[in-house]
Amino acid sequence: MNKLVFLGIIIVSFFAILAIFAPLIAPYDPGQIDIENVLTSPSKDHIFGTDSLGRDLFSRMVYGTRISLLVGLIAVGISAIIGILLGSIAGYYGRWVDVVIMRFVDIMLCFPTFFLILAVIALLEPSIINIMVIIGVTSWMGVARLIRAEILSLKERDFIYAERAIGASDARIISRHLIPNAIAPVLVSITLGIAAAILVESSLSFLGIGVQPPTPSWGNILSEGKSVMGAAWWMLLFPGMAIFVTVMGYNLLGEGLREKFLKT
Amino acid sequence: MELLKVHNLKKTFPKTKVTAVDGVDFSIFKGEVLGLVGESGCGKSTLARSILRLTDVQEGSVFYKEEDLLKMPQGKMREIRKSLQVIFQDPYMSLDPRMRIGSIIEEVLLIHSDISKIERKNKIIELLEMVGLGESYIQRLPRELSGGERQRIGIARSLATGPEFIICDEPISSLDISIQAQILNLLLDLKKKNNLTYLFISHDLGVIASICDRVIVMQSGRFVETGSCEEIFKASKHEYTRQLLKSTLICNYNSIIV
Amino acid sequence: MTMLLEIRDLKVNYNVDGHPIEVVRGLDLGIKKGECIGLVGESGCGKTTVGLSITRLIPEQKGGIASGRILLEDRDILSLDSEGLRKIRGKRISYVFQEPFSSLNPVFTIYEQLKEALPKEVDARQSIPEALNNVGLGNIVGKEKLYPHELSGGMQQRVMIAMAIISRPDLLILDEPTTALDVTVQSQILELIMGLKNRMDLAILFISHDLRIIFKFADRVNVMYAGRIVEVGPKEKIFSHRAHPYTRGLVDSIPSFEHRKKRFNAIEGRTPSFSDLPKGCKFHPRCKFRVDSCTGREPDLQELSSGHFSRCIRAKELMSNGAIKST
Repeated sequence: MNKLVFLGIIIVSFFAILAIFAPLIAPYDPGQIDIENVLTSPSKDHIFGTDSLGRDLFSRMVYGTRISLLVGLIAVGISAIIGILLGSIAGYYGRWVDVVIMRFVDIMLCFPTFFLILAVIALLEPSIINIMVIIGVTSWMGVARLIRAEILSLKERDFIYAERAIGASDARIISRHLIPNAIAPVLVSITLGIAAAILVESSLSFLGIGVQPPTPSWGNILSEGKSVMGAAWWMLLFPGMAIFVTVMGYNLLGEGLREKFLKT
Repeated sequence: MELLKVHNLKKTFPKTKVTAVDGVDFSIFKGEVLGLVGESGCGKSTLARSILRLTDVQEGSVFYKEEDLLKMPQGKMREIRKSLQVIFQDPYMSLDPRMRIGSIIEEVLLIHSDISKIERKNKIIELLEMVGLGESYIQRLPRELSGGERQRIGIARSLATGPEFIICDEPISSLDISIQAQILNLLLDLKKKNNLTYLFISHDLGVIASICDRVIVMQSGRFVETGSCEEIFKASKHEYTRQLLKSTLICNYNSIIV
Repeated sequence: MTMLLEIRDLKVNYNVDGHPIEVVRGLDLGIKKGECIGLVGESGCGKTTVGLSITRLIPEQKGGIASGRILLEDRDILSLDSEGLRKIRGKRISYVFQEPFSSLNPVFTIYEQLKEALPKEVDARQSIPEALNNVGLGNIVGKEKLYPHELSGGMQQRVMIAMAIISRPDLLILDEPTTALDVTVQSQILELIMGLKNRMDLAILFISHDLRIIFKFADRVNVMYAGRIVEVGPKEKIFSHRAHPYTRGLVDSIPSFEHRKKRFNAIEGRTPSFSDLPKGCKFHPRCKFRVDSCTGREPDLQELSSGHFSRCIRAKELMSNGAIKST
């Protein structure tokens, strides 16, 4: 296995463990305010230092991992479900169904996604659920196209004709035979999509319209760090690094999957 | 007794505007092996798929037991499919690469019957043995099998619902010669045992000559000649048929074909 | 007739999962000037490997020639350096493969590709039209801007043949040249090849799984199984005597009108994998005529009559038609 892919797996697993075992790993309650220790630099007691309300940064970062991963996975999950559904129906049925769905895809692609998300969040309230849903609902188009392309070629294969000949229903053919055989490139897209979703969430939170404090998110910690930039470098470095490393990890994994599937 | 009657069947591919099947009429009689021979692109595979409604058809009818298959409602068609089955050419493409052999055969039983899991397993073993394989194949994947073995699985699958008619679409063309003979033997044995009727499609005149009762010669979507095996091979009337026979002779030693 | 090409005890390995597996296991083959030699066997017997090995075309990562000698008129091809090899490939020994469309480069015109096949000193303007006429493509002489995809399968194969003969080689190696073509086109191409053979005094090594074609066009037939020749001889003797059970099984598997409605005497079982070959005679597990000594030592080729050899210890019995009982 490629060394970089291996690195990607390690990074992804590392953050997954942090997220799952956050309560066991974080030394402090992320919401615990300690006015006396406001903005202290990294030390023995607080390995990442504290923020402007004296909360332990390390603990907030660990809990922030949960948010990032949650948003990443669920947003991508939503986009995958929508994309696979629409893409496979378009690919399998063809003709006017395909035309209608693909035009819809084209329309969606016309929107600059990030600004669309900004606009929607501005109209609704910035809750975690809203963020997950809106990211999911605006990023399914790539998956739809990929699945459609795979299915267009797969459905001409003899084994699909064989399924029809034995009387399998369309739903059965699509769900049990076409999608499992078409899923490979989609997995790559999904993996890279998680990285993208994490970046979007961090950006939104950084701008103040994502995850709202006191819930810790790397994005909003970074935002706080911006306002105390000169005084507390640790408020910028650690969340910045975390975002960078996580996104890189998912990208490496995605690229590795792509290479593996290209070979087979 | 007439099993299937095809009337004025026409199929055109919408994207390329090619008319693959251009108004054909014929009947298939119970118990016979009807051969359909033609070169690549003549429309024989498209015809096979059209008859079984595996692809859309622009015009025509396919009468089975007095009813037109092409106008039947989906639910009834599914029932009828139990009696009309098909074996495909490419053993590497006709099985879902991600499914185990047992599941591939079991799926047919799941769609069409209500029997219990144990009964299904027994039926799967029975079918595997019918095609010369055994229980050990149930857990294997298609890619672990040879071409001949995969084709036997394809045959087992087509027998699962107890059909009376099977379309064999170039079933042995992708196989080695010695395996071809094995599969032809198997098809002949199964025909006798299960009282089957075959529409046997091939581009190989030698194969057609060795197992068919009647033969149809197809070119560019149309039938150019029909007749008994004797008539076609010993006293063909149409120029194209004679051309095919001549070309085959040129390629065959010692007049092996005729 | 003098010996043009002589293969002696050729052994070729393929790398499978990092280990070398012997795929050609000691093969002898001789081709005389102007002769057409058939090499027949089913998929996986190693026949294509033999063809490729003659001019060392197997890529190094895939495998290589382990031992043996390949003599082109007394010079060992296996000891040539790359300069020497280049003088032979495409010039004295040419190939025609199965799929013309994958052998032709889609982005170059036919003329450009034919020109590449010529040695530098030769005048293209004369040789190319001559070659095209020789293969029955007179109607595209002068059409220099034609690309492969604009031709039919039969025409593409004719171009491949033109490329192979344009430098007037001594030996033409054909590997399933017509398998991908329709039967009417097949017969035209085969007639073309045989016409060229006679006019240009070409020697041909015809590799195919199709017995019917091999028996029709070859002078001598080599039957290959599991990496070695199991029977070789003039085609009439092979066809009528069938002095090896495998040959017998293959010939009995040919479908024909006379064979109508009868069961075939098919060979049971499947070809063994090279990593797991049986002891002794490699065919014995599938053989109707096997006896105990078949599991001992792999038999050598024994001469049954002039030029006719078989690797079966019961060959002489087999040859007396039908007198032998299957066990």
